[in-house]
Amino acid sequence: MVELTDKAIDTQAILVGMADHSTGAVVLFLGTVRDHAEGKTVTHMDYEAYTDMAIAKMKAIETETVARWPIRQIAIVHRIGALQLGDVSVAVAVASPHRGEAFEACRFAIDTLKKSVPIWKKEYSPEGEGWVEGIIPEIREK
Amino acid sequence: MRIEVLFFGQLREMTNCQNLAVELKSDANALDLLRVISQRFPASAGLLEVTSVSINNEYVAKETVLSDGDEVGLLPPISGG
Repeated sequence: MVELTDKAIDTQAILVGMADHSTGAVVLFLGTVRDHAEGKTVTHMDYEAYTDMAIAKMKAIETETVARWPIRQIAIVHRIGALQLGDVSVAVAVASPHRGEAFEACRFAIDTLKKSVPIWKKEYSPEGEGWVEGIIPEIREK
Repeated sequence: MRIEVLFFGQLREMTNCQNLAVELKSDANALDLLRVISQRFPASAGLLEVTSVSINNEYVAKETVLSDGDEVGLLPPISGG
């Protein structure tokens, strides 16, 4: 499943969703708001998304991940809005028969999310505020 | 033709614009649109150089010709995750 939410991400619910007796490995990745970036102290962040396109790109990542690894369950959840230190901004969970593919698939999903999903984050610090330097996404030929 | 342009992130903040209906000649491409936006919002010219363009939820090359009714996203470098 994929989801874009402005509420706190329910990591327990995500893990419950991974339950599948055909699997022997569950890997959960959480991206959290850190208190520093490039020598600055970060106090909080704002996340913004191009909603329809972000969901479409997250679904595409889900499809590609399931096609490349023997994944039985996958969840990709990204939060938008105002986030505080320690808040979970993104969760990626996969369940598969063995741990090798679970780790690889989870890594692939989050790495691909960061370079393809239209979401932007802004950092706030005592020194000021600024949009985090981003990545120019690849244009994939269809 | 008429297209709907959506602004995001730093570009939205800089132009104070979330969305804009733009009239273009019928064979205009994304580069033509970027030129129009740059003229309308001169301070955004530098950022537009590194801004990606989407048409109906897909990233496209800037030479891509637009169609009437397209939803075009102006997407600064992304930083999700």
